[in-house]
Amino acid sequence: MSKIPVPKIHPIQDISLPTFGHQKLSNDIPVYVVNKGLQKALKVEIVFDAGRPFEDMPLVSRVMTSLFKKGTKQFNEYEIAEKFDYYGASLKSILNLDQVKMTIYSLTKDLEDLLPVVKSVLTEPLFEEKHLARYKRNFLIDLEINLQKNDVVAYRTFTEKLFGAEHYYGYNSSKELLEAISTEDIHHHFNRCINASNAQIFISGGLNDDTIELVNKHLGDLPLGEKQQPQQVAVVDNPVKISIQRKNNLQASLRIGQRTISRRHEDFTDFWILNTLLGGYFGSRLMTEVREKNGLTYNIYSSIDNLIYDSYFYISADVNAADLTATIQCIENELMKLRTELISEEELVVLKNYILGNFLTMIDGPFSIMATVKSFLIHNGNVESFDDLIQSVQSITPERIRANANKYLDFNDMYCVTVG
Amino acid sequence: MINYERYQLKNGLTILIHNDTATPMAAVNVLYKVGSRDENPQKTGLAHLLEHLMFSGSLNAPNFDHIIQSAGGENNAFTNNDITNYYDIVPANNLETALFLEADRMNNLILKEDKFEVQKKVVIEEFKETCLEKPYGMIWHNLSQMAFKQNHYQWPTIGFNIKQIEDITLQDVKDFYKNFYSPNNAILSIAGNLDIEKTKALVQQYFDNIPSSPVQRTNNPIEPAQNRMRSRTQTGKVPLHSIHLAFHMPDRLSKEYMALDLLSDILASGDSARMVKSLSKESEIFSYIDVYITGTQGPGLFLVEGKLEEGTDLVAAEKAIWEVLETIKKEEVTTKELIICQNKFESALVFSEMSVLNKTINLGYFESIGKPEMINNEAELYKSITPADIKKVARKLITKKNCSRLIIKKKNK
Repeated sequence: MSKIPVPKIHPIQDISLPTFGHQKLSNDIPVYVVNKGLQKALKVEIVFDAGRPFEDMPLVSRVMTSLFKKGTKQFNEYEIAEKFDYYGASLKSILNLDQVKMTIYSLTKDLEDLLPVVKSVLTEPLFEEKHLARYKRNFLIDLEINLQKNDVVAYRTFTEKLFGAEHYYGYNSSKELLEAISTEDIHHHFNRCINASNAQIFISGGLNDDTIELVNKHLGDLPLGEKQQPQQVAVVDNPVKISIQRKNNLQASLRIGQRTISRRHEDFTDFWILNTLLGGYFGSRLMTEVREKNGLTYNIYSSIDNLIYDSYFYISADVNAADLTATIQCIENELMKLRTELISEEELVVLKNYILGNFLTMIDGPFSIMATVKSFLIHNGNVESFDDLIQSVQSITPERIRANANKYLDFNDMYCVTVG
Repeated sequence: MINYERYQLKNGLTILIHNDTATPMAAVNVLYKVGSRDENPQKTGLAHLLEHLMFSGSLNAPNFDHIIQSAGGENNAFTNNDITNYYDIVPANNLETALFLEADRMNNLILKEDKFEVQKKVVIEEFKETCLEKPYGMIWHNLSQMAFKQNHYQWPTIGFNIKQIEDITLQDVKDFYKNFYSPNNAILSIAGNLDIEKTKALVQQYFDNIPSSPVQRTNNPIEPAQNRMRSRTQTGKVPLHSIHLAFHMPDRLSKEYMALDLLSDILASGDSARMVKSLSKESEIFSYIDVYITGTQGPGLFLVEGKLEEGTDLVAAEKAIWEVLETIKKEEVTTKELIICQNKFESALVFSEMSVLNKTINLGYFESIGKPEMINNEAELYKSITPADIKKVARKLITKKNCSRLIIKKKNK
């Protein structure tokens, strides 16, 4: 067999966020635009500050999001569905804890026919009792199913402990919370949050000359309202180790982590790189040690969840129940290694190049560009931070990685939840 | 329209190249024409286990992941009944790295005991996570066994059971690799921001000297026609009763395949589709209902499955499904329903062309079914299907005697 050399790897240069447009509709809703791509297809996202931090009562944002498309003064549930099905388009209402999003995917030529339906959904939804009742019924069945899953129980317990059961990021859905919600509560939340004063719009894809004008025609007269502010709830921080025992389970779930710095913090970019090294990609320390060397799990990862008003770091895995202790030990060792040892030059090169390549995919195509722009606008308040992140990756040193591990990855400060 | 160049090397490797200047990336896809249907019935799960081991290093690339990540790339793979498919996406200037890696593991994979044992454990954890620990996670095992008595579609890709996976030996994997992973049994597709001539030269450099070798296929019997309904009811740890109906259907290249694919969309794709509307939204018999086809190359299955609303009667629910199916056999679907399907097709096509990786995988897939040109004309072919075609195939195949029925009853607490 012949020896073949590994080809020379070319450095990735010139990563920069493509330019995007910024304007306002007649009612001052900010609109961000990435007009790019050969295909005449687009994505329109209408984002409202209407998630958990803005709730008067727990769960109401979730229930509202789920019932949005169930009928309006003009269109019933099927008419809404059929309009979008007809064009092979889609309309989704999505809640991501902080915000409620209405997302439209369609061919650019069809947007004009779809916008009147979107407008109706955003201005005159009915939130009828019969739909709420059915939603509650199905929700409770889903809840029952989910509570049987170890990973769900681990996630619920972890976030509840992290923020406190009274906090908007900490509370968990339950029968009691759900049953307390009435159609009036939903209308009330809708009236407060779903209006022009709490909205932003993101449009990306291969647009026509009149696309923005069309959006303004249909959404430029969404009514104004009061700008909503997040509730003020204190977080109770008291790291605990909890083990929930369950019978007859083949696998156990674990969550280990803590609240952490926000994206605006000066250490954030370095910490983000550190997280990638620990558990943010297939070649990460955790994946290599726990899965590839020891076969203890099918999947393990670490992640930083940046919410708008807080952030947390966690490690997650489902493992063979008998190997739980061994896995936790393995994780503890990996954290300690990052705090005491310097990363080798070779591993650092792999890490840096992987991340830079990943940045290229973040700016590949209009939808990816817009997702990146949106994320930086929402979390950092500007897009220049994207360049700071690239700068950090290019200049990162083994010493900076270790210093950050010492600041932000101490196992003793972490919450640890195991279920199984 | 996706323009591509297609040719073969003298060792039998088929190559498809497509240039896309809108992306900074390049994607490489290697499809091996081997899937779980090529396994010995006593050693199922082998194709998928080998997929895991394809990442454990080759002669000149001892750490596959490290090299691809150093090049700023990512990769993954999947196995199904018919094929095993590997893909990489890298910054376009590092295309060569991906080609080098794929060629080396096609020719020089290193299979050793220690990594083999680790990946076996990983796959067993995957089996637990995706089948045993999930409610309804074993449906596919049960249903394919009921529908197929002879044909190798009777076991899922992950394997028939954990025992069989445990019993696979390193030698089994080596033999399987040697037999199926040769250039004459593979398709290489490449797309991205690239120079076609330079790309061809690189392909030549890395793949041309990989020797071809004959592929021995196990005997995979044709499934005899089913002539009476098969039925099974079992209780399980599930939150809701469920009904699963599976009907045998013709192979991927038949006209009937397209008609049934469209029918499944008319019945259950989108909230305005027939069954979703009448059986779930309006009458609230089912909390969830879906209709789909397995999409295999050989004759596969047309499936209807629903989870009942709490308190609904199983017999009445099944009757309601059959009533909708009978309507399809009596009256032609409407032109509007058909237009909706075709619009969906058109829109899906435009969106899929926005991703270079999608295009690369699709080029490989259509080549694997012997119809590379379908990447551009599939929508046209579907447009030629008429309401009469759909009615005809429904009358022929959506029948009780062609049906396997699995009912999962919720355990009483």
